[in-house]
Amino acid sequence: MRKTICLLCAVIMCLSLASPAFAAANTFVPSITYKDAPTIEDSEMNDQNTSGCLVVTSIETARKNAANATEAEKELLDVYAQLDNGTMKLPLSGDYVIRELVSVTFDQLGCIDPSHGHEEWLEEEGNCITVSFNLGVDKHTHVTVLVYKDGQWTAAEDVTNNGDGTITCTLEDIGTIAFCVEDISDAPQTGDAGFLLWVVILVMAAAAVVVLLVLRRKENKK
Amino acid sequence: MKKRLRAKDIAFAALMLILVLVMLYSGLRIVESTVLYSGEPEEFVSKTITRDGVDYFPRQDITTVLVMGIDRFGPVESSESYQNRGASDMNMLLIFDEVNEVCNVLHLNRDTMLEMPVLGIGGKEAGTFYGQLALSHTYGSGLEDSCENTRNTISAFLYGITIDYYVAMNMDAIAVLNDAVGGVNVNVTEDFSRVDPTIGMGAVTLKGEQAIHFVRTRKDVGDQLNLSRIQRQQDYIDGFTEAFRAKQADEQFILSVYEEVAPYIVTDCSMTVINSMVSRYGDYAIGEVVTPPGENVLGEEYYEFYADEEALDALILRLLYAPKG
Repeated sequence: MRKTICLLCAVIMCLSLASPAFAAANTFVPSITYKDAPTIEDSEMNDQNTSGCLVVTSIETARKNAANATEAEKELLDVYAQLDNGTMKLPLSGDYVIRELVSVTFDQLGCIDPSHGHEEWLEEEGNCITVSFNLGVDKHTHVTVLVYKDGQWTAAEDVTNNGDGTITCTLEDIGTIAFCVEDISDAPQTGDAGFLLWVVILVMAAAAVVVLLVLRRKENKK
Repeated sequence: MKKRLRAKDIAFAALMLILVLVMLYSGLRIVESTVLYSGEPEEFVSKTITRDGVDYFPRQDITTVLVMGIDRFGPVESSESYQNRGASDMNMLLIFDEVNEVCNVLHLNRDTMLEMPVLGIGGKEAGTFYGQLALSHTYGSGLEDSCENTRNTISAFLYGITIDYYVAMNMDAIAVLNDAVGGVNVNVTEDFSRVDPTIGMGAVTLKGEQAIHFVRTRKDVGDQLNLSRIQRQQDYIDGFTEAFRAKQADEQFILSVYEEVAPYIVTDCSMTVINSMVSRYGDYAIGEVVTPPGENVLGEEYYEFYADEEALDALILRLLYAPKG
């Protein structure tokens, strides 16, 4: 009996000594390798939490699935190609940049009740879905959300920057969605070379006027 | 006589009109940029820094080259999208100090948390993102636009200093460069047996893929932390520099290496620039090899490195700035 107990204690001690080694082997934390499509932080439709019902697909993912692309993925790639080559413009005034272009679809497998018919419900007039996307935007950034449906772009309503990198918007449809921000890349700046160049031109032109006037006056006196 | 005067008068009037129009237009452009622009006028970025009553300005007697190691294999290719999957896993700023004739190396942790520009469709900036430095290269197509984004990100992080050149290399370039110099000697202090059993302990001359495993892998190696990998990368640079110096006297060596590694790199250095830098800086000793200290924390899912602000400030001033007067 004593020997059995000693053997059991020895086994337990060995196992407990080995556990840090096991723990060390499992402490690998992967590094972030890329920034995927914006995640959905929250979603509500018809007073139901629908966060688990939505799938956000990036262009990269759609390309990878090219051989078996869904209709939504094909539309995303087609819209991207048109936007990228300039054959499609968004109905926005002013200068803008498309920060993200993704496809948002319902994933029936992710829903609590797959038979709920989310797509059909949303298609009924007057129904809408509220979604919070994690875009990682600065709290001061104004985001315009556009949804592409049946060949047309429609602006989402009630777009709110929540100040924590996420935005919340109300959508009447889902599908290919563009998240746009103001393009400030061409904004004139007082410190840049263009500003100085115009100052130099102004000064030179003014000097030329003065010189010409002086010469003209001398000539007239003669 | 009258006709000639009239022609002269007309020419004078025309010239004056043109000059006045030029003045008006340039005046409007100046007014537009200083008054009419609806946003807040951008402050002219002065690169003078003041610390404890001492003014520092960016050193003009250094040449900086950003070397990036991109976590992709195979020849460089465009993602044909506004984003790509090539994170900048290694970010070393080579600082060639022409006064002291040394090359200092500032090695930035790939998990350094900072603001970076986001590139949207068409390559335009679409705001910023706060995240790991390595992600700065994932914006853009994976080519020059992504490299420029990383350059701009690091430049802004280092108080807006000018980064003169960049070289980004895919993983395969490491093996090519490694073997081009005849292998690289390192002292292996961690067990690589689970990753590459051909890498033993102690003094090892790395060949081919061994070099890739040595500088890239941290899973199943030692404490599996990025900080340890950074140390290995710095040890590798030391060994590579030594092996490179032994070969650089051969005029054809640089050209042949460049041709071999070209499919795996993206750079804004022409062959002329490379030759010039080799002849100018080839004999420089390696000076300081520093990594900004800070805290490595586990975020929601991934590691996040927060550089110590005071230590980073001192480092930037010491390596990249000089006191006025």
